[in-house]
Amino acid sequence: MTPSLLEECLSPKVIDIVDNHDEVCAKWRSYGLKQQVLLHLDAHHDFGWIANKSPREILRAPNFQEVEKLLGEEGWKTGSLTDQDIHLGNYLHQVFREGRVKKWYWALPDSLWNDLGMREIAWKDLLDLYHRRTGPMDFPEREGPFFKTKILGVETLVSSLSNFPKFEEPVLLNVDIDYLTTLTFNPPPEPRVYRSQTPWIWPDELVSLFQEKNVTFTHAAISRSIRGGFAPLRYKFLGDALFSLLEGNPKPEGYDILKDALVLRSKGENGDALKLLSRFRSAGAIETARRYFSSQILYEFGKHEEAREEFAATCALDPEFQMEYSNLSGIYEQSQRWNEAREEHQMIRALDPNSHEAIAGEGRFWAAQKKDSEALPYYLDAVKRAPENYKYAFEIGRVLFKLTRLEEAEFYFQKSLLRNPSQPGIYVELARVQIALKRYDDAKQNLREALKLGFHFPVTYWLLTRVYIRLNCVHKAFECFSEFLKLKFKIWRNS
Amino acid sequence: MKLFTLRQALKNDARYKIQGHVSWSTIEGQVVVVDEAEGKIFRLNKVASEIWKLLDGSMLLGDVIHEVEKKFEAPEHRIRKDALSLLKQLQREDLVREIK
Repeated sequence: MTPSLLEECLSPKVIDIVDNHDEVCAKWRSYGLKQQVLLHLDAHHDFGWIANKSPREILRAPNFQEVEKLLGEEGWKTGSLTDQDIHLGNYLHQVFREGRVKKWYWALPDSLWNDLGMREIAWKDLLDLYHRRTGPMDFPEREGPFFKTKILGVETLVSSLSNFPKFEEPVLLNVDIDYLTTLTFNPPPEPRVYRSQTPWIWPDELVSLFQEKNVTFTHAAISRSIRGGFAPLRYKFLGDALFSLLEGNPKPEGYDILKDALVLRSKGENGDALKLLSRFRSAGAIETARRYFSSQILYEFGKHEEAREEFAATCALDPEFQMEYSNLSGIYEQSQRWNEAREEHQMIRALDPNSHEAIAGEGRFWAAQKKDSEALPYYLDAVKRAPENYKYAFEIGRVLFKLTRLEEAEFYFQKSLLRNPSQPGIYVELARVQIALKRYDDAKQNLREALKLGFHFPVTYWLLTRVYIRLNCVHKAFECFSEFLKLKFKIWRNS
Repeated sequence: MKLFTLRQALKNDARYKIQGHVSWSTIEGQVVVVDEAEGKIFRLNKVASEIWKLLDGSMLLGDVIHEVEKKFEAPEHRIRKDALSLLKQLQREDLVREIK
């Protein structure tokens, strides 16, 4: 056996590919990893503090001395703890708490780190972590090309990968595909520009950078981040390509052609890009990507029929593409750019006339224009196509409430709750309807349920204040109103 | 409405039940109550703890007072006064409810 083969056998690599980043938590736990150097390549730190202690823990105290001690600690939360408390925004806190990391390198995309405005956003993120801390954390410092701090005893260094020194020991490698594709923290510009944007670094270039930085690993994780909405579905193949390269395989067949085609497209040379894409003949691992991009380009050329065929072929290869295939519409909706969001939905419907996501999107567009009667048929159509989707029943409830069709609104909110009883927002909206129906006891129960699920927002306390006044519980009404003011003031101060 | 609640509480044939969002346990002989919805914690004294343990909705208030009276050998009127005052507070905090 040659020495290199021996080395290979002694330190086998484990590479996991997941969609939501928090899935790595269970995997690392199952491998029993401890005291690792974590190299986290991500546009986000993924370290949110988890309020992990339920007041119920107090009841397990053996004596009052222990009760006093527990009450002096931080990190209490109301409501019961659920699995949903750990998510893709905070799973690293859990990983740290379990002692799996001794040093944390958070590498931001160069596209963010090299932009001073973007870097400041990352700095503010760190300061925010410090101010919201429920565990030990040092005040962050700027030192040379790094932000430095210590969180839960873990030395933390933030910068771009190229600024980090060479790594002297194997790392726990943790790559989010949004690291390759995120160019800005800000909402995207006009859709055509955004859609034609290419990753700032490609998987093969990243692997070369790893070699330059002497990055070795025994365990690695790649998160596609599609469902979470941080990496566009069109770049799903980047995760697969990186996985293959890290395993030591050559670049997937057609990888370079696809890369060249996308670069051409980013320059607006769609015709040449399409010619290159057509050169694919092998149904390799990235066949979906080729077909997906072809459908988009064909759509832009106005060839809707062919675009639809290509999209159908993509979905036949990978049904995931049938879900909200472009999450760009969601981003526009979040930034209230409704016309652009609508253009996205219209494109989706051109490619997939049965897309309930896009149909509901049209409903949201009209609701945003305050034309609730126009919105309603779209939501009803969407819920008919996807009866299991709690969001559509919720949207119908909201529209009906605004149209003062209260009993029907209540029916749809209850329907929505049946499908997803863990969404506190639905309880709040249901309570709003019940207040309008003067059923204050029911409203109270639902608002308290929302609080139990952690929905501690001014609106909950404001509605509870109104309910308690109606129920003549002056003391409780006063308490809720104080809480409302406290939260309102906090929000105002933060903004 | 508030007076009406008080009048109700004075009745011996009222029954009270601990609310569903409340958890409790006994620490060093005293009941500690946690309102999970609002994250509040209450500590009851020994007499209040004994009353609390009997609020399962099955006993009439008069019987609850009688049971506690036996345990503490205190005059009935004193126990009644304490019990009514406690129940008023517990209802105000939404920790117990009266069963119709």
